[in-house]
Amino acid sequence: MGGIINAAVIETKDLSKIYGYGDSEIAAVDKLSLSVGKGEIVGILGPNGSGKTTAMRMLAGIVFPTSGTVSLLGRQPNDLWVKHRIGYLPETLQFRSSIRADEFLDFHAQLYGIGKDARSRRIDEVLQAVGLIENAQSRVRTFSKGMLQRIALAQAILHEPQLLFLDEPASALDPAGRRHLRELLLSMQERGATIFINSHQLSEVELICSRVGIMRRGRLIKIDDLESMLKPVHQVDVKVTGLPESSLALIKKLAVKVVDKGGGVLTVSLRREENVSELAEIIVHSGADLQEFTPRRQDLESAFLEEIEGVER
Amino acid sequence: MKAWPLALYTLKVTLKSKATIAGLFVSLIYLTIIPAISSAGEGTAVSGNVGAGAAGLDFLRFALGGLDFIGMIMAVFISLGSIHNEIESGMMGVIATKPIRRWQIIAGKWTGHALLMTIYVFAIGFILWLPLTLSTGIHAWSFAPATALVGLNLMAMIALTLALSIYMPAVSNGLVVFIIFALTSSLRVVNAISGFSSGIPGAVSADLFRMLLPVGPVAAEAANLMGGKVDPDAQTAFFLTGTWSFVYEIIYIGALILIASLAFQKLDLD
Repeated sequence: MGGIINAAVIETKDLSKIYGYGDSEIAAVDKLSLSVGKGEIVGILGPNGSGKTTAMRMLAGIVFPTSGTVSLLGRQPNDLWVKHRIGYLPETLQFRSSIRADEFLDFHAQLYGIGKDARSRRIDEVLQAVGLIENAQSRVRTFSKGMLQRIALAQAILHEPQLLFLDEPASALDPAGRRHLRELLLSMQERGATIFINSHQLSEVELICSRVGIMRRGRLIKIDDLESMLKPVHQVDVKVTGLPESSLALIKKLAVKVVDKGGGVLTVSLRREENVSELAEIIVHSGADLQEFTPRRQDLESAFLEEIEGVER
Repeated sequence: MKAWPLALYTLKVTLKSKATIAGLFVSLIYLTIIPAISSAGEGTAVSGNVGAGAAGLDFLRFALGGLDFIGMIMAVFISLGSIHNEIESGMMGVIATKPIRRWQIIAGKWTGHALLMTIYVFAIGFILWLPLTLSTGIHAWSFAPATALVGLNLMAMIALTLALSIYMPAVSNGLVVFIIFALTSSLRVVNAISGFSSGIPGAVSADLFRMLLPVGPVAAEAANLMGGKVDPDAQTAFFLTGTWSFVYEIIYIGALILIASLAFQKLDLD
């Protein structure tokens, strides 16, 4: 068997999925082109109905594109060689049967062709990794939402995939579960895995992803490194006492907006980056007692909303 | 062969399903009351010791008819949502991302259900056959191939229900299957179709209609093996009589699995 042919683990070109016919045609995904390299953790953000899930399903080979191309590890998504190397966690996975957690994982391990001895060892390892080792013999139907999400994740990582697709992996997890998931994914990345995540949990994406894309109405409107996405915004939190009215007037003249939060705390939004040092100079020269001066970084939520609202306009 | 783990998993899951438990419960009631109802229905003394070989065969033939009917209903209920429900639950998407081909998913699902119903039909058949053999000394060896034909009927029902479950939710699937079953099993409907033209063309038209679900002719052949008489009103031509009926049913099952596999090949699992 050949190895990886392309450097890109995921490569799509003008990938589209159109539902309906004639006037009722809707492009769930519209000409998605992206490339994800080995070892990257890429997060896709977007409001409900933006096409994230359909895009992921096309990448995982369970929904067929209307047009465009997709390759995983240099091959078609439905190639069995590829399927041996990918893991997929859907947004929701309902268990209607009265099956035990270890039986469920044993079945999936058999589909990967894992031998009996290795299977039992691997199932224990994976249950340990997702924090369900105590529940190995429990019926999956009795699991809480968070536990269901963990067992669903377990089937996706059972065979130590090179490429992992996760659709809202943390949506039902508590804070401890989220941290656990984060650690697990980072350890997989360290071992060379590539991870593609759809999420609404912007803070989670911010903590784990190296690159972030934003989808809106089926289109990938932006994809960039997290660092570039979180561009500094010229906003400063200031705590100061004894600031003269004249200096405050100067600050208001310099700033776009000044919010007085009381107790000498101000949040100052500035036009340009160089205004930050000018603000500091005004306060220092005023003779006031400056206790805190914190330029704020834009968080992913603000960046996301800015992009989405930009498209809306 | 990746279909095999899926077949065993399907068997395990279906065994614990409500449909199977309900089917087994109904079968248990049936086994309890069969001596009484077969006596009332056929007019032969079969409860307790059966004195005559003919009466024993009558009893087994009657019991087999009931087993065929209960088994077919059970086969439909266990496979109603096989594909559609699993697509909706997200499970089918997860399975489809595993190294298994789409046709193997269909084959595995069908095999799992067929295994369960095969075990069921032979177990119930054995429970019917053994006490009669022990108490009367009648061996009724023809009961084994007749039971196998009933098993074949159940597999045909599974194939039809499974194929329809690719596109239909459980409730509509059940309705469609029972309408097809009721129409193709009704001699009144079949004879009305054959009545449009006399002789061979009429019989062929009736057969073509019954080919939509050939369980009726196969059940008749099973009864025939047990010494029953073929209903003289049943219009049959060439391919749904005698051996041909179950040869056709085997082809029918294979064709449905093939059609289902082709339909599933490019189906979006969302």
